[in-house]
Amino acid sequence: MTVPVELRDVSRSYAMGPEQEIRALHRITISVRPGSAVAITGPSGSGKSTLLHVIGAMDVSDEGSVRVGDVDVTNLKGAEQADYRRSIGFVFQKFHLLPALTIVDNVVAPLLPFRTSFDKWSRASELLAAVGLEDRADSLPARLSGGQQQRVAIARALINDPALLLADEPTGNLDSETGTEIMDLLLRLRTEHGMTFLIATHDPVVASRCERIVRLKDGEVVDDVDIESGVHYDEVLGRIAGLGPGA
Amino acid sequence: MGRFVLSQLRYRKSRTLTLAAGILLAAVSFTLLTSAASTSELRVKRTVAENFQPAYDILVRPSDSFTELERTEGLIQQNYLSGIFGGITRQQYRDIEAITGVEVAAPIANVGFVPPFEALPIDISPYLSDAPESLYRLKVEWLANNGLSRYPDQDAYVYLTRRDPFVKVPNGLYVQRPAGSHRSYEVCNHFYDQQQEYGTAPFRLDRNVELGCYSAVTPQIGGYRVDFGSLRFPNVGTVRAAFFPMLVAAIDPEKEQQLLDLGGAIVSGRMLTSDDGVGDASEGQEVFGLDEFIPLLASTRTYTDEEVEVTVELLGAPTGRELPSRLSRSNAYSFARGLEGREVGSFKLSLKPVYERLLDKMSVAPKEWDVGYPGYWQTSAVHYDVESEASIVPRAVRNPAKVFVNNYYGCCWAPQENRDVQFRKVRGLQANAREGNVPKLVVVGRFDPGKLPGFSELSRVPLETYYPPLVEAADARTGKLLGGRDLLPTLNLGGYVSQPPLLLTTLGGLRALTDSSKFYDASDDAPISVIRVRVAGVTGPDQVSRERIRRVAEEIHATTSLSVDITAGSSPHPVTVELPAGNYGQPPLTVTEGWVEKGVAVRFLEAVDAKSIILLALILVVCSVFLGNSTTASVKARRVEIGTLACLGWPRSKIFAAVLGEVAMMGLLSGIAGFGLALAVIAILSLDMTVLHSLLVVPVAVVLALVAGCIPAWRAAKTVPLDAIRFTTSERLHATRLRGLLAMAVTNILRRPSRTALGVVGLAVGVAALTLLITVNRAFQGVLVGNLMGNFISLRIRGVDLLSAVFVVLLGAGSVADVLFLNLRERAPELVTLRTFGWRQSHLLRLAAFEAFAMGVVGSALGVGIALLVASQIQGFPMGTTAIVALMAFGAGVFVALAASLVPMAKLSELLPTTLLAEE
Ligand SMILES: Nc1ncnc2c1ncn2[C@@H]1O[C@H](COP(=O)(O)OP(=O)(O)OP(=O)(O)O)[C@@H](O)[C@H]1O
Ligand SMILES: [Mg+2]
Repeated sequence: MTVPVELRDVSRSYAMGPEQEIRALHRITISVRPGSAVAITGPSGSGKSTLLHVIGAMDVSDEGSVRVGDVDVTNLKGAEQADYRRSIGFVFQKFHLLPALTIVDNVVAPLLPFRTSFDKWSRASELLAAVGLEDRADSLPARLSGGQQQRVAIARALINDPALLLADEPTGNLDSETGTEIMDLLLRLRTEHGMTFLIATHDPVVASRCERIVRLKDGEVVDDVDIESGVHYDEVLGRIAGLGPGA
Repeated sequence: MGRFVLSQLRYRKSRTLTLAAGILLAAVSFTLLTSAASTSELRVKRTVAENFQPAYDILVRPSDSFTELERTEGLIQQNYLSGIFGGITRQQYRDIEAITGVEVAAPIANVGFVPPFEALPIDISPYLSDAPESLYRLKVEWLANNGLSRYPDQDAYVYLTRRDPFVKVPNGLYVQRPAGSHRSYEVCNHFYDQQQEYGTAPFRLDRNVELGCYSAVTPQIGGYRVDFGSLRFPNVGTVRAAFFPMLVAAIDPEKEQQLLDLGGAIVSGRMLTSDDGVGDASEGQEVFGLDEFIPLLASTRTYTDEEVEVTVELLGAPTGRELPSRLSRSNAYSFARGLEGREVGSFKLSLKPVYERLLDKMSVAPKEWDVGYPGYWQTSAVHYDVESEASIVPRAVRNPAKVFVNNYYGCCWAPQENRDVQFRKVRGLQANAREGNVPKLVVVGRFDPGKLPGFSELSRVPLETYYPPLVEAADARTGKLLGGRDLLPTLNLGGYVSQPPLLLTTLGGLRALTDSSKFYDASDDAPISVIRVRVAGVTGPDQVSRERIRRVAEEIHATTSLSVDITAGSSPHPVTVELPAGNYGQPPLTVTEGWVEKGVAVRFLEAVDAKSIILLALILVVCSVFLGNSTTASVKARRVEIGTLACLGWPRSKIFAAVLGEVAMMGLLSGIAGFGLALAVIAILSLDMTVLHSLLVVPVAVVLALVAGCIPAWRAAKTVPLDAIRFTTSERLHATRLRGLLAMAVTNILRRPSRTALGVVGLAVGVAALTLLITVNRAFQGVLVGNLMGNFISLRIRGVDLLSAVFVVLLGAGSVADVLFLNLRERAPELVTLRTFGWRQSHLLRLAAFEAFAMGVVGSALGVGIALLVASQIQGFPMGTTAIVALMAFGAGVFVALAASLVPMAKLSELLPTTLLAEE
């Protein structure tokens, strides 16, 4: 079960002082096919995180509409917002595991206050197995390496069997080898669970593994490359390299 | 640096306010609890006689009402009531009644001695001569103290004709008219012609000397008549007015009933009721000069030990009709007085039947008796000189004759006894003649003091109210002089032995006699003389009972400033009194009077009692817990900041000072606010505390803050720059599987075990204190006396104490809320993370509520446990009540903890995902 993601003319500004404001997003229009893996790239401050937050209902756009499947994300209120958040998965750069909870409980945490038709803990164990951490279920997060912690965060993001997985720099805090492993995991899980997958990243290698790369600058889409539709991998790599961070 | 401190306080405004509130509460409690409470201590003089148990435990008297001897020797005069005429207000009486632990408070208001009188017919018929005409002189003497004192009264004369009739003439007069003669003799009409009229000298014996004229031929005419009695041939003689000065006192009938079963001593008529008051006699038939009456109980015993001795002299008068002829002249009295007499007989009359007749007369319906009282007298106590170790000598006083003058009748009256040596100052209160109306005394019932408990000599109880003091001969000489009898009161108002109250009215009836419009100098301001108090729960002369008595005595003294004597545990203390010789024949006497030595002396102190100090310590502990916890947390939260300061080169001492300064500043500000609050509380509760004392709040708050801030500040100072940067969690976590929100809440509060423990202990202390105090308040009316693990304890719970216990609970709840607050603040990123997973706001609230609940439950349960443990160690502590109160305190503790936690929970709504995510 996958969902399309439709953004139309989405803008988000932050007030910086009385007169000034920062345009984090400016009239972004993107349409993501269900089940596709899209990389959001761009220099620091270009609006990647903001874009994911708006899609994940962590933040609200000032203008435009965000639709995920048949959910109008921009018009969600209170509890609907929380319910919607539970229908997607979110992976952070800094993992944000709950230090007091065991690994398995961290995975269960999103569902902890809810009744489910399935056993939350066995589901969590399955997911931990899927990320290769079944033997660490009863450890506390502090005992795990960064990569392991991120795997836990990924398992946690999947506990709700989301149709959409958002990942904000999931490899940013990891070395490149571990980053590659995490990326493998994410893409594999995307396929297995049939999710639409949006990932914000600096890393051209990470981005190049997606089917499509959207490049932002100053809150606007400056490039949108569909790899599946024939663009050559090297070309993409080159374009990313040429206009990479700092460009 | 001061600016640094101030900016910190401003930056964390709500936090500062919370802490300030805590300090404030603590500081105010401190002032309240240390407000000098008057307490007392008992000094036990000796092991007390168990069988010497008064009917009451505490004797309350006006503070100036006893002699130095009593004060210095710890004695109470057996005659303790005498000399006290008022001094306690009706309000003070009500205040004493309202004191918890007072089972019965029975007031006695001495009003004064009224002079009711009754006819004493002196019949000399057995001694009459057979002569046709005879004249007799009756020498009358009043005998007191077994005849040791003889008080000569006026003579009286009796004229008897056995051969001539009396014939009535106009103006109600009669003459002796020999049969068949036109000559008549006005034998009875000129006797007073040259005699002194009533004057203002109350003791003169040569005024209006009576002559009784009798004719054996016409018994129906002549004879002796006065308005209160008469004699008629063949009873020949004179009629004297026998005065019985009787002490009127007001009581509360219900209280006397409870204290002594006074109703059980009623022998005729009825007992007084509390509804008895000043009666209105003017209903129906108007009676001149009388519109009010006072219902009374009268004692069937007078206790006056007097007799009248009459010596009859047959006068050597001329024979034939020369005698009636001489009596018909205007110098008749001089003639009779000059005649030589020959004693023909002598006899003694007892006053007992007269007293009974008097009571009968006083018992008739008010309108049938038209004599009110022209005034009454009050007498002082006797003062003594201590002559030797062994004995004391009463100090004689002089009362001017004019105190016995009464202008109401235009004259005066006083028994001759009052010319004898006096020991009491007498004060006359005269009826206001212009008002015209003096209240009448109406006896509605009679009681026999002999039927009151402990009347018999063997079971005699000390300090009884309705018996005269027991004054016995102390040596053989006096014993012989008194003929084995006790010394009893006489008609001498200022005499040594004073009457007990013989006429009892109610405090309502009293008002007629204390009405200043009816009696000059009378006043109803403070009519009550003494209050006898029986304390609840007193079982004997044991320590617990004594402590209960002490508590009540202390409270009475504190609320009324009256003098308080503890009678329980007292012992008989015979005092030898050297009575000086009297003016009327009584030689010096050595007598023993049964005084009472107080077994227990109360000493009143101004002090803070131990229980207040314990409460205070609890408050301070909870408050420092509270403060310490949050200061520690704030230091922890600012590790980076403080580390940065260290990096910037701040020395440790500066960092220490900065953190401590912050706390101290908070203490100072709260102290100032607390001062204001303390003033308000003092005003509201009308506590006895000075402004200076309340000002103590300020240093207390600062010191408290400094103490609580010390450890955290020291920790902050120890922060190494590296620590700040390489921030590692100090949490010690245990991996446990969760099963829902509650489990998660528990896990959360266990993350900072010492912080949670302190918060919980704060609440527990409050709940325990509250449970115990409320139980004591409910079960023992605020006074607990008992044994705690073999140690004698005694406490009195004041309102201030309860208030302080409530403060402790509030502080405890505050500390729970504060722990929650700190936890939530530290965990803000985690909470936000949960929000990003799709947790709703309500889930976070529930989580927080569970945490507060868990702490509330643990704290309250711990408190209840402590309370039950302590209660179980106190002998006689009602576990049932404790359990019920504990249950309620438990609920209250949990509730307050939850309620207080609403404040930090409200902060949760400020947590939005973006605040966290923006940090990325
Ligand atoms: N909550 C916020 N308040 C104010 N400004 C914000 C907020 N969130 C983002 N911005 C600003 O919006 C712009 C876009 O930020 P965003 O975090 O989306 O960039 P990014 O592309 O994710 O950068 P990076 O690669 O460094 O993560 C930035 O200029 C940022 O400073
Ligand atoms: Mg970003």
